[in-house]
Amino acid sequence: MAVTGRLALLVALGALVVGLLWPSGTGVLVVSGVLALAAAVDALVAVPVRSLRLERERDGIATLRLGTSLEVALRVANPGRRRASLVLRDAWEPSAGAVPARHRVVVPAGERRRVVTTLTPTRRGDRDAVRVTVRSIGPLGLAARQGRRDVPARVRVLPAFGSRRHLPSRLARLRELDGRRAVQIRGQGTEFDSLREYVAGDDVRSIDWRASARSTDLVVRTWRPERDRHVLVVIDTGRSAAGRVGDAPRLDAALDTALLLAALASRGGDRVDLLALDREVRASVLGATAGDLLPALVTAMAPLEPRLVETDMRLLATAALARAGRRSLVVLVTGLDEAAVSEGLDPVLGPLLHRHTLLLAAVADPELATMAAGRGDAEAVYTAAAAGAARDARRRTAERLARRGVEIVDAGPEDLPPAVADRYLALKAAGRL
Amino acid sequence: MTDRAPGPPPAPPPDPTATPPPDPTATPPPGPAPDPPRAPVINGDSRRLEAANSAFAASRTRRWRGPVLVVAAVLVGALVIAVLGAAPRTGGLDPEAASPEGSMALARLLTGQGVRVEPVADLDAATAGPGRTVLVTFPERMSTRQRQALAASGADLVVVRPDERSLAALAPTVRPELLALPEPTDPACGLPAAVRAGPVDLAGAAYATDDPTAQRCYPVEEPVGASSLVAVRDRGRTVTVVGDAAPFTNDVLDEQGNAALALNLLGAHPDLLWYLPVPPPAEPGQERSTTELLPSGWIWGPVQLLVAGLAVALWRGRRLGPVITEDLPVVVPAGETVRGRARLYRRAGARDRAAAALRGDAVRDLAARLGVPRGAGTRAVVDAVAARSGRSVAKVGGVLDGPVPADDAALVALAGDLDALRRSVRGTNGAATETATETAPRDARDPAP
Repeated sequence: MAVTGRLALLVALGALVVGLLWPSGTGVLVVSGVLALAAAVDALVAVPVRSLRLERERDGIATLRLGTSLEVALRVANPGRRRASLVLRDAWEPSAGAVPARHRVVVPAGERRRVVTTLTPTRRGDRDAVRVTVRSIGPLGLAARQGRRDVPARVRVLPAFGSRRHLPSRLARLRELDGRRAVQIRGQGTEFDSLREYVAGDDVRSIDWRASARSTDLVVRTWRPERDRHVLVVIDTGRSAAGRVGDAPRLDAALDTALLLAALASRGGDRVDLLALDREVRASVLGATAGDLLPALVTAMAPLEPRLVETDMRLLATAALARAGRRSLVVLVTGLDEAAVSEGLDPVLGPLLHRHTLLLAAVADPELATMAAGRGDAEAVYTAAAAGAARDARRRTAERLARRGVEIVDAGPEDLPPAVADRYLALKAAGRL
Repeated sequence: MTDRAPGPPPAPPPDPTATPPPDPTATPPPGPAPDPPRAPVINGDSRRLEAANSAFAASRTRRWRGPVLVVAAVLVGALVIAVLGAAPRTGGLDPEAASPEGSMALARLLTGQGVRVEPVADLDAATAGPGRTVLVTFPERMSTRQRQALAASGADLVVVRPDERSLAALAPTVRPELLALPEPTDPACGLPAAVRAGPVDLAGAAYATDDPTAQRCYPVEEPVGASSLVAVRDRGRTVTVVGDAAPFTNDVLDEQGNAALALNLLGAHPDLLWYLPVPPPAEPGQERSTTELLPSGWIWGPVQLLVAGLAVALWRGRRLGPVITEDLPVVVPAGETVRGRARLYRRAGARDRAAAALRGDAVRDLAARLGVPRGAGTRAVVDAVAARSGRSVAKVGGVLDGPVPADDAALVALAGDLDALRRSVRGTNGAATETATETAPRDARDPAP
């Protein structure tokens, strides 16, 4: 039961009736009572909310990228014999960004109408429709019945993949490496590709003398970059991923990095697996084919949230070793926190480094540089000193890991994805995958 | 110029000595470009928060500006009206008042003629018996009870510009002529007082009567039959209705026949009750509150409005479904630990640590720029910096490897000195090498080379 603005207006106009025509308590009682009675009758004859049939137009989970909008439709059917005048709210979780907040819809008897809500989510993950609240207004428009219905629906908000713009240039470099467009290159640890005639400028060390002996001309061997390698991206969703850098948590930059690397590596003919964990494995994508790798990745990434727990590095190492059977490039996206690395990561690095190439990508905070440059008053200078100390600790940690043979990429959230992609290309060119 | 249509005169030729107006497209004079304004180092959060706050405050100011202006205008208007309207207007026809609209002159004259003038604010039938004259100055101010008391008294009445209710009570045969516009004229009647006075200043209201015995003096031109002064006999007494108070005031008492008319009208009996009606306080048991005096519609209408307010509350108060909650992930600004450590430094006065951190940062920076091998020690960096910048080794050493600053000011100064060293090195060495760990701008303070 709810009353409308029209009733309030009529009661207010009743003040004129009472004041001019019937100035007494009886007048007030009669005018208010008549209107209250009318409202009660109106609510009684309104179409019952229970009799309406509400259903989603689409079953299953709709997906959209963060930063885009999606229309979700709700069908309202009125099987009764009276016209239903409805105010309807299709309520979603607040970060789903559902507009409009309320719909006015009139459903004639025996017909049905489509109510479209536009979702513009503001964060990644699964967003649920919470409930549908329906207010059925009576024929006089004075009062309404109100009720709620559960009409479940869910949208999956995928990561924005903002680093997609870096993909074309990296793919071009990959093709250069691959020899599809430019000259074949020679590199250590690359795979034998084919023989061809020597042309001036070729490296004389690549001359295949045995083949040349059978030929009338000098023949050189050509190589191409290794293919069918394994790249395992391990994302740390623990405490270090929760820090906000700029507007987004570090985890978002980590996901962006993983997506760009995966897109690049799958085009480069490598197999990409994903592992996200903190104290337990949060997401895992294994053995996806090149075609459905990215969809599988974004779907797995969508519900990932950073957790305020210390990542179990032992679990991380075990899980990574279990998933990387042969020699792989293990890309670990985590923090460069001195204590966390020395106590967590350092002791478990041995087996990983023994079998695999380890690339550690860390999201740096550009604000640290701003703070380190702070001058002017004592507070700014103390902050600069603290920032300097923090940078120093980070640098020491990175150097220590680098001495153990870990590849380190430490860059701001915008720069990290292309930097990791570049490092991957460099490793590939050097045949170190 | 020559074939231009006549119009404004041509502009004078430019004066070569005059300074040219500033040209917005002109290139700035050569010289060192000023440093771009730098925002103070604030936490990104608080900056956003401040922006949001100021925007919110601005919108709130905008939203309230209109109503506030309206209220202010109303207050100012009320104040102006109160000030302008506060001029004393008391003393109208008051026998004690010497103001132009007072009647002290007339009262004195009457006293001099031997008439006893007695100002009264309230009277009953007993005091105003036959054989007296009652001057009713503001008949409209009388309460019903006072009016009835006056009508029941036997005294002769001089009523100044009565309203309809007073006429109905005191002189039922006389009625006001609302459309008449009296002008001073001759008496044109047989009333002795008027005949002796001649023309007087009677330009207020006009009255008509059907009483054939009535004296109609100072008739008006339109409508015929109305006159400015009417005297009727009513229940054994004379009731004189005067259309204007002017002949009784200090202002024009000495003009025309005003004084004669007033003295003759009021001096007919030796006793004159000068009646300045003041509504009496309510008698016990008859007191009525404001609500009782208000028409009942003004009471029950607002009661109905209260009911309407209830209806509005019901209307607006009913939510379309409950508030939806959502679990949000905890996200902390990454720089928060650094800030916390800075506050700890400061609170503990840890200038040694702070200075060491600043110096260590600068030494590493300078070593990277100057190609000093890592682990060569501060001394080597000092020598290299001194050689490159041309400063003395002692001075550079004092900055890079000197004593702990004595106070916060010295620490701030040390930070400035370190920046100066970096600048001096950067000025001579353009090929600065960036390490992989420092892709972010190292020092936003320094102008680009």
